[in-house]
Amino acid sequence: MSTHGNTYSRLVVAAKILLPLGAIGLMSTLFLLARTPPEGEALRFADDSVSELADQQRLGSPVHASVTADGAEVKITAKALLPDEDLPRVTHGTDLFAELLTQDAQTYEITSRTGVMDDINMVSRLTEDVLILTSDGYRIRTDALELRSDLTYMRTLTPISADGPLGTLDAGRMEVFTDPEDDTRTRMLFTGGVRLVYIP
Amino acid sequence: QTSVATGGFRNADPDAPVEVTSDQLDLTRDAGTALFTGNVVAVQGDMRLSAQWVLVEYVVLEDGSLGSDIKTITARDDVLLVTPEEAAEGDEAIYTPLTNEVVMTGNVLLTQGANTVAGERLVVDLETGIGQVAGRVRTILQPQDEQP
Repeated sequence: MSTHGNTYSRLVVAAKILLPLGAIGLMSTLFLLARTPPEGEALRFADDSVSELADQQRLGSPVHASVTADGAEVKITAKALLPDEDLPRVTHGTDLFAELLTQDAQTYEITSRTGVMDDINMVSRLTEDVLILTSDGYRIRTDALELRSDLTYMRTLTPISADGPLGTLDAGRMEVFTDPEDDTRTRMLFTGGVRLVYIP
Repeated sequence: QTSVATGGFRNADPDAPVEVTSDQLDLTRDAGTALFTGNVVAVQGDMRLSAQWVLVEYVVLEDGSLGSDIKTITARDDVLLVTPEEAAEGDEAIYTPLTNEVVMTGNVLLTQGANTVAGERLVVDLETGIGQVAGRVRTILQPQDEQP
């Protein structure tokens, strides 16, 4: 093998070492010096509403939320929402879920199949299979219910049948509102004939 | 100050369901009260209490939620307590399930068959059925043959 061949093979050996090293160098700088991702707009969904949506299997439809004059929170969401053809700010909904959190930490979770949310008169009407679950264990069924969003006030438009800690209860109408004498307290008023069966 | 022992008020079945009907019911939950107003009738077994105003006070549990056991039931305005053998009416009656006692006060009139006893205060022990009338007790015995 001529000496000439020697330098050539030495060159090849050097290349076999230098070239991969160069490649690694290039690759690492590519990652190391990469710019941080652009500061995008913050995620529009707050954490709690994501978990809320998850456990309610509810589509992420817009939530009608408001705080009443006496400090209660009213939230209404629906699976499908359809604005009224002629009345502005009136929305029809199906599979509604409404939540009233009163000042004395009583919660009323109301579900119904259909409903209308009237932002002009600040009242929503839930209809068809209305079920109200209260935080201290009442299950109240009725057919139609009105819920105000400016005041802590809910009233049924049809008779109710309920069961809970008191036993089973049937009444002509039910109203839930802040006690006028003591606005930290919520009252449930059943009228139009009441029948309670209590099992001690 | 004499007292008349009767026997007819025994509450045969304290665990029987209680059915209460009225025109209106007003629940103030964290105060643990249920106020029945307007033709209130409460029936348990063969005992019947009627009045215009009946306030049921529940034992409020520590966490503030409404317990299901009753502390007291207070009845006012033409209170009438009727059992198969006795009837007692008065201005106010307070029933305490814990002591199983009914205390009726104000113009108490206790009728047992033909006999009526009037007084200021009637204390009935529902377990033994013994009722004791006290306070200016006047007993009116209807002679049998002069039945009205």
